[in-house]
Amino acid sequence: MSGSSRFIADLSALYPALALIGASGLILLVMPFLRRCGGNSGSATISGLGVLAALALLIRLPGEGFGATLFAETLVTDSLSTASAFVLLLSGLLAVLIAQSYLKVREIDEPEYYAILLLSMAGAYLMLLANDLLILFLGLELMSFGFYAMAGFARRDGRSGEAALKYFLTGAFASALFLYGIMLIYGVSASTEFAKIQSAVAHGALHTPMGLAGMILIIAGLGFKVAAVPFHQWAPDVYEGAPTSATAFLAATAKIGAFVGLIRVLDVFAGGSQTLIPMLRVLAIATMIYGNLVAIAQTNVKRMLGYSAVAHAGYLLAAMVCVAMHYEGTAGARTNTAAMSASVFYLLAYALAGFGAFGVLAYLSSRDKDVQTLDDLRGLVQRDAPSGYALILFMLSLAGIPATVGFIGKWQIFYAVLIGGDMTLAVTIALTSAMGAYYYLRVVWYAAFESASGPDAPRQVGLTGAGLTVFVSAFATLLLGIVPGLLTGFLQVVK
Amino acid sequence: MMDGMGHLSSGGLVWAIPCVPLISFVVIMLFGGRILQVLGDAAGRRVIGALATLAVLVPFALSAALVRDLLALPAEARRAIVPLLPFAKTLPWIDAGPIHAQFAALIDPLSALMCLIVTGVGGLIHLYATGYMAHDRDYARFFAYFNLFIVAMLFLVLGESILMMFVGWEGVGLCSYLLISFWYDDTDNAKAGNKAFIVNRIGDVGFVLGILTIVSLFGTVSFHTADGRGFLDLAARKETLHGALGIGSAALIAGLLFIGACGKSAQFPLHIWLPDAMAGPTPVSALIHAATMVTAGVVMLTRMSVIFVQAPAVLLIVALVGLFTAIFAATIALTQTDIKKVLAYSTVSQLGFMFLGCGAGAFAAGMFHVMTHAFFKALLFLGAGSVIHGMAGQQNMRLMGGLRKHMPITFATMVAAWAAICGFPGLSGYWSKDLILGYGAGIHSYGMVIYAVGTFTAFLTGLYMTRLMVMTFGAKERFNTHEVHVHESPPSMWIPLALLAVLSIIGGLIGTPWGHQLQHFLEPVLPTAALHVAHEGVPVGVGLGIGAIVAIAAMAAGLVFYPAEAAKGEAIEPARNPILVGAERLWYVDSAANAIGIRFGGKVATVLWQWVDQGNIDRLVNIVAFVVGLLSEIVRGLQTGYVRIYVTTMLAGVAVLAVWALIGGGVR
Repeated sequence: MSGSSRFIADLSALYPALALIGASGLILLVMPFLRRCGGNSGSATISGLGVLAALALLIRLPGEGFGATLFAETLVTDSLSTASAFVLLLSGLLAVLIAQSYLKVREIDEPEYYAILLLSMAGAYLMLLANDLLILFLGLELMSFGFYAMAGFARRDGRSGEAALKYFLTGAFASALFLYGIMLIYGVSASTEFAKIQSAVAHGALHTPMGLAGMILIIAGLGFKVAAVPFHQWAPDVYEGAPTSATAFLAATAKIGAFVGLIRVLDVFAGGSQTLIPMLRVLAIATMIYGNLVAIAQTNVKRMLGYSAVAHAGYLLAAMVCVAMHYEGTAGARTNTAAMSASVFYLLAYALAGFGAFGVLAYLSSRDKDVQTLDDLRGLVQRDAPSGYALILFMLSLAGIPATVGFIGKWQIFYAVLIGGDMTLAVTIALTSAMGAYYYLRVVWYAAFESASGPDAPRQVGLTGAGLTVFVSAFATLLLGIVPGLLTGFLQVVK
Repeated sequence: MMDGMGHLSSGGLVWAIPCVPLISFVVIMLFGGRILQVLGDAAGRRVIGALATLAVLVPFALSAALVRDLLALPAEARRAIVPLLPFAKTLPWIDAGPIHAQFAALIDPLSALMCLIVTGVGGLIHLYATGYMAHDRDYARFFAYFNLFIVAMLFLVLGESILMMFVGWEGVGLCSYLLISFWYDDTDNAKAGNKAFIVNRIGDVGFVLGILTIVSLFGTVSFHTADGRGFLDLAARKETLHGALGIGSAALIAGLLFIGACGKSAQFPLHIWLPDAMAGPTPVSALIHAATMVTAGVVMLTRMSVIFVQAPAVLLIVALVGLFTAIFAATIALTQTDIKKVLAYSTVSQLGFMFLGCGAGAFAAGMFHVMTHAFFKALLFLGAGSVIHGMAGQQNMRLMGGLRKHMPITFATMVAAWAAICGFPGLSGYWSKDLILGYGAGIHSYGMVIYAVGTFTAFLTGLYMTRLMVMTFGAKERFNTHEVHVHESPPSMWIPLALLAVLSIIGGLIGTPWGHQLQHFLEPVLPTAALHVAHEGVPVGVGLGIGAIVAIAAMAAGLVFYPAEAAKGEAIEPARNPILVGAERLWYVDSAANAIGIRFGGKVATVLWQWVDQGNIDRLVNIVAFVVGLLSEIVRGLQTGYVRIYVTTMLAGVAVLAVWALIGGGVR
């Protein structure tokens, strides 16, 4: 194939990202001029259409190119990238919907929000396809810059600014760690390409101090994005301070991008160092225990969900331990693919429950009242039954109660850990899940069994974007909880 | 559709059979209140009733098409596995280790026949309920539950794996509970619902253990697969994962599943919930506690017949339990005065007949009785409901009488059902009951005893049903006609009665000893061994003759004997005959269950609760919870809010990991 036709063929894998970037550019170019005539619903419409176009382009990606490397080995399209990109774009759609009404209510409805959101998604998309550490870094930064800006988007709210600044400072530090790690790995392998690093690892590159330090720093950099202990402390502050729509978006997107990046990196490092698995295991256990433990003491639901995000990162890290196992015979390979598929499904389950829960908060919020504490949810089932029951459903899904998609996701991870034979992790998952049930069920208690006090908070009437997010998430949470087979096949990661 | 199995032209619509009522359930549950609000009460009720009824009649049409398609296929090709999702090739449901359950339907003669019965009889009862429940406060909730029941029942009969059957099994149990205690304002109803649920749980323990045994022995939950690796395929070849299927393993599975069947199908001693279940609205009694759900045990036995025929001892137990339940319940039915209680015990007794058939290895005969019983028992209940409706809630037969003049249509249809259940020659009950008794007589060495007891039970059936008819419709009114204005029911109620009457009369003709059409239709589902196990112990002609004589004798005896008793009404003196007294008091089974289960069990539970649990375990749990809470508060303090601390923590984390890796021998 000639160079230019090769380029064109490779480019098709990036069409979804190009659609997102194109929509973003369109918003930036056109919307400032259109704003004077009427509101800002045009931005939401353009971004929604952009994400839908990206989804359509993703599904139309040719199947035979699976496992193919593109653009001189820097990108790869395989079942992992396609499945996770599907989850990413699906949550992107929910992110647009939730923003559509929430921004309006909070009176921060600017076109830039959508433009940034789409660019951030494009960055996450790049991470999913990365086959080179530098591309992974590029995607990570593009994604993160969006997060920083979106976290501070409620300009008049002091906590929003604080969240953005804290996120930016700690994020910059984490990026430095990550980049430093890339440099060290380059030092031992003379490349940033995964394939070449992998062959260097096979020759013992990770047994040198430099290689070992590089590996730890890269895991730390990605660990920051997923809020793994001890790189997690930004999470509660940012989750609480950021506008609810931005919190929902970054909760889901950061996890999707960073965990798929972590899977790719671990796939490269696996078997190269005997400290890799114990290290990941300790991170996973610490993250599970810490996240669940501290969430118990929270009274602000957004902050509680921030710690819950830490806890869920712990469960996913448990799956990462299994991802790192694949040189240990056929059972190891089975564990490996089972853990990858479980992670992608879990990311979907988490995104649905997260968007649902934040969607309920956004749906209930009004101009004067940003709903985020347990007290705000008192007697919700009596005041507004549909959103009350939906919130209960999302809490059950986050807690991993059967008949919700959260149960299926947690069960898949649990199963992968069991066939991987790691009893310590399995027991920790079980025990910390029980701890988790406490604070999720407390929300259920407040919503269903406490009686409403004070006057009815005014809320949005009619079908709003946030309401639609809640409805879609609830429907999918229940449907996939009962018939997960509708998607498990599609989200299966094969090698 | 799976290769290697039959091809159905209507297979593409199989998903709609359970999904149409499911959608209707969701719509009514979520938007029922809104519909009533927007359209107004009267119109809203009409819309909801029509929606719920159509949602059962559409699957009925599809089931009929399915049966037609199956009949067009050669007998050995009448099996297909169809995913319950339009346009899908397969739909995985649970993938866990060796278990690969599909969200799919197993279409074969048994499931198709049951679909037809469930949706056909169910549709008629839905129609009836639109009239019966017309003035109920909770109209929408009733029809939502009613549709959900149909969904669960369809999952039960259609499921591709025993897990899906279990989902349906539990689903019908749930709906039964919800509908028995439908009028929850009355504590008695709530208690009856609880009783049904708890007694069913006892059976379910057996069923669950049976499923687990199947999984551990066969390593699969699918009944059949295209490559012949379903557990019924394996059992038919006497294979398991670990070698040959021994008689002990087969007996273990069969025994455990039979316990499950006893719970759901109200066999002695787990029958005690069924009579209490009559606390629900009468259409519920007709649909769930007579025509469909309670036959689930028989359907399950028939589905598992391959395993049961390999455990002759269990099969004999099934037959004997069935026979005992039949005569036991029949004696109780002779003495009750509540019209619905009589019918409830009659149902228990008839279920006993079905189990007797299955126990004799004549599963097709059992299924035949399931079908005919669905027709006439649904009709009897609906007729009784019509009577209760007309009498403004009265259920005591001693306060009825003479209703034939006031409710001619109800009376005429009830006569058809009465003749059918008594086994009047030519009517549906005649063919199925005599078939079962014939096979029962064939059970080696005990055959003649079983035949004699069974025939005597058939005689008792004729007696108690005649008693019911005489006390309700015969003689003079024993109530004040000025106070109670008895009226015939509206058309929405008597049209289903008329249709069911027709079916009760002619429905047995597809299973006559000359045609055996139903038996031949079911043959592909049954193990070839079963066809050898079962044989008729009396010549067909003799059996039919004795059956006819017994039925007519019982009806005649009842018509002679009961009018005098009925005329006394409430003034009748209490029975002194110890047998009648025992039967009237339900043979003390309920009292024993109360004494052992509730009073003694309650004491044990109280000790466990107050001393073991509250006294000791709770204290331990509270300590753990307190420590966790304390830890949570302490660790929370680490979150200072200062970015410099956050960054230092990160750096410290990296440093600790690096040092650990170096010390831990990461570097060679």
